Amino acid sequence: MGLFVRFQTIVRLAIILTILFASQSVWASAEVPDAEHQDAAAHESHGPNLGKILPLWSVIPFAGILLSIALFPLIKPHFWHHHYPKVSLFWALVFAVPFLIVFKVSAAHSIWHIMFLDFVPFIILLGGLFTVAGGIVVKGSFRGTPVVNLILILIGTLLASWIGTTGAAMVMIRPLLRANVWRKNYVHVVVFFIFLVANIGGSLTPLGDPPLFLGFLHGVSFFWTMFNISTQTLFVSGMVLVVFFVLDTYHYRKEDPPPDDGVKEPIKVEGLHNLLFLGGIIGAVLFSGLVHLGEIPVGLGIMQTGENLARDLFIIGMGAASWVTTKKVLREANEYSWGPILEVAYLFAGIFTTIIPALAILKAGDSGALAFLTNAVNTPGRYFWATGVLSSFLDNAPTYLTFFNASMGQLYPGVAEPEAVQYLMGNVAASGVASGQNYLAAISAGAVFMGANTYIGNAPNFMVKAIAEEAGVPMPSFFGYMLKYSIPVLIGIFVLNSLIFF
Amino acid sequence: METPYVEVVFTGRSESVKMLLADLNAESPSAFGPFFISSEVGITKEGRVRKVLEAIQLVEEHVYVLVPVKDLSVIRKRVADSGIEIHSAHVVVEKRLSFKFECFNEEVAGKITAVFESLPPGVILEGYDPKTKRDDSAKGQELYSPTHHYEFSGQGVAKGPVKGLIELRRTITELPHIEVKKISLVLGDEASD
Repeated sequence: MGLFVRFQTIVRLAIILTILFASQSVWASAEVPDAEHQDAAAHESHGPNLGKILPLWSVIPFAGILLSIALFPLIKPHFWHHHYPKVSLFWALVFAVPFLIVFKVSAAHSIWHIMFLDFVPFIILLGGLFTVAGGIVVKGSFRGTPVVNLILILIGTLLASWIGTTGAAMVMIRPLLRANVWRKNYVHVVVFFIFLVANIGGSLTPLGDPPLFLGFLHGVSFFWTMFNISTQTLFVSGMVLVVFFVLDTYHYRKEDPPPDDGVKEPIKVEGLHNLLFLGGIIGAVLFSGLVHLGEIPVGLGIMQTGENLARDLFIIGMGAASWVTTKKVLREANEYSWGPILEVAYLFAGIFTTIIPALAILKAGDSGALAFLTNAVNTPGRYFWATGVLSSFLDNAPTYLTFFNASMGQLYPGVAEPEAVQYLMGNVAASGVASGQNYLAAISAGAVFMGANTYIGNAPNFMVKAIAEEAGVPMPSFFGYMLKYSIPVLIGIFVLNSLIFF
Repeated sequence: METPYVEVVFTGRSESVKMLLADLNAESPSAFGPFFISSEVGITKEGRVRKVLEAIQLVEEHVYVLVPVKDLSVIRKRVADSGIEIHSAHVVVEKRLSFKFECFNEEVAGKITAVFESLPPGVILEGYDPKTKRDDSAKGQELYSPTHHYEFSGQGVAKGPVKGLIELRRTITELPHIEVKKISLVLGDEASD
C-alpha cells in the first residue's frame, strides 16, 4: 500500500470514528463532563464516567493492534518486520485522534495517565532487565543428556522470575543449543524451554513476566504472586519437567553415541557483576512498593509518586551501569541489540493508547458496554481459562490488564482502583467485601502459564524459535507447535491445575 | 533403462506375502526382482481409514508390492496354491517424490544443496528452483517481528527409477528441514502377463 493510500485510510478511519464518537457523546451528553468538571473527571478518567459513555466499538483499535501483533508475523513477516511501528501508530491514531477531538481534556488526561504511569515504567523495567541480562553469558562445554538438559531448563525457569522471561531465555538458550547440537532430534528440548523458561517460570514476581509488572504498577504487591500462585507454579512446572525428562530420555536413547570433542571448555558465567545491577533493580522495585515519598505533578493533573520516579530513574541508572561496565564481546555473544526494546516500545505505545476504552468500559462493570463479558466470566476458573486462552493468541500483558480491570468492575463496581486492588489481593479485613484473591490468582496464572500455548502468546517465544532456527533446529510451524506439543502436553496439565486450584 | 514395474495388490496376510516373495527370490536370485514392499520403502498405499479397518479385521488386508513386469506371471502361478490372492496389478506409469524445504542456517542449506546435487542414478528433478534471501536488517534478536537474515527455501518433484527414488527419500528423511511425502505412483492399465 503506498504512503498516500495509507494516509488516506488513516484519515478516513479517523473521520468515521470521530463522527461515531461525536454522535455517541451527543446521545449521552448528560454524562459528558462539562469544562468546569473536566478536571474532576480527569482524575477519574479511567473511572466509571468514561466507561459508561464509551461504546463497544471504541475497542476496535485495541483488537486491531493485538490481532496485528498476532497475525502479521505469521502471514506477512517481512512486511511486519519493516513496518510494525507504522502499524502501531496507525491503530493508536485511529483511536486517539477522534478520542481527543470529542473528549478533549478527559481524553488527554487518559492518554497521558496511561502513558506516563504505565507505559514509561513498563518500558524502563523491561529495558533495564534486558540490558542487565544481556551482559551475562554462560560459557562452557555441555553435553545434552536428559539430566543436563533438565538442569539447564530448570536453571532458566528459576532465573525467569528474577531477570525476566526474555532475559532468562536470552541467557540460557545458546548454552542449551550448544549442548544438543550433536543430537539428531532435539526440537522438543527447545519447545519445553519455551514452555518453562519463556513462560511458566516467570510467574513468581513482577520482574518475571510483563503482565505481572503491570499488576504491580496498579498496586499488586511485589511478593503477591510468590505467596499466592507459587504452589500452582510448582505443580505446573513440576509436571512439565517430568514430561520433558521422560520424552528427552526416550529420544536420547535413539541417538548415536555423543562424539568425542576433544578439549572441553570449562563451564563459567561471565558478566557476573551484572547480578549487582540486577539486585539494584529488584531493590528499586521493592523500594517503590514499600516506601512513600509523596506525589509529584507530571502534567494534566496527573500525579506520580516520588518512589516510582526514583525507581524508574534508578533502573535507568542500573541499565546504564551495566552497559558501561560490560565488555562488548559478552553482549555480542548474546547477540544483544536494542531491537527488542524498540519493538516493545513501539508496539506497547500503541497497545497502551488503544487499551484505554477497554479498561474504562470493563471498570464500569454492569454499566459498561462489556457487561456481557464480565457477566459471562464470573468465577476464578473461568477467569483462568478466559485470560489463558486469550493470552495464548494475543499478547499476555494487555490480556492480563483487560481481565484485571474486568474483575474489579465485576467484583467491586464503583470502588476506586487502589482500594479495589487491595480487595483483589485478599486484603479485605473489616471491609465486609468478598476477597478477590482467587480471581487475581486465576488471572495471573492464566496470563503467564498460557502464554506458552502458541508462539504468539508471549514475546520471548518467537525470539527463542528464531534463535533455534538460525542454529539449524527445524522448529515446528505455528500449528505444529500446538498440535504436537502445547495441546498434548500443556492443556491437560492446565485442566488439572484448574480443577485442583480453582 | 529401468525395468517396467507393476504395482501388485495382494489380499492376504503381509507375512505370507513376504514369505512368498522371499521364496521366489531365493529360488532364482538373479532372475527375480528386485521387488519393493510399499509400506517398507515409503511408497503410498492405502489410506488411513482402510488401515484402521484392516487392523480391526473388518476388511481383508491388502499388501502393496512393486514387482518387475517380467515376474508377474511367476507370481500369479505361485499364488494360486498359497492362499493369497492378487486383488489387482497395474502397470506403474510414473513414480514421483515431492519435497519442499525451508531453513535459516547456511550450514543446513549446504547439506540440502549437496543432497540435490548428487542424486541417485536416473533420478531427475522437476520444478526445483531453490531461493536464497538475505536481509541484513533482520540480523539480531527480535521479539515480535521474528524474521531471519538468511532464508533458503525450495520445492520440487523427483522422478526416476524406484530404487533411485527410494534411496533419495531415505537420504532426505535424514534431514528434518526437508518435508518429504511418500513416493506416489501414477498407475496405468491392468497388467497382463
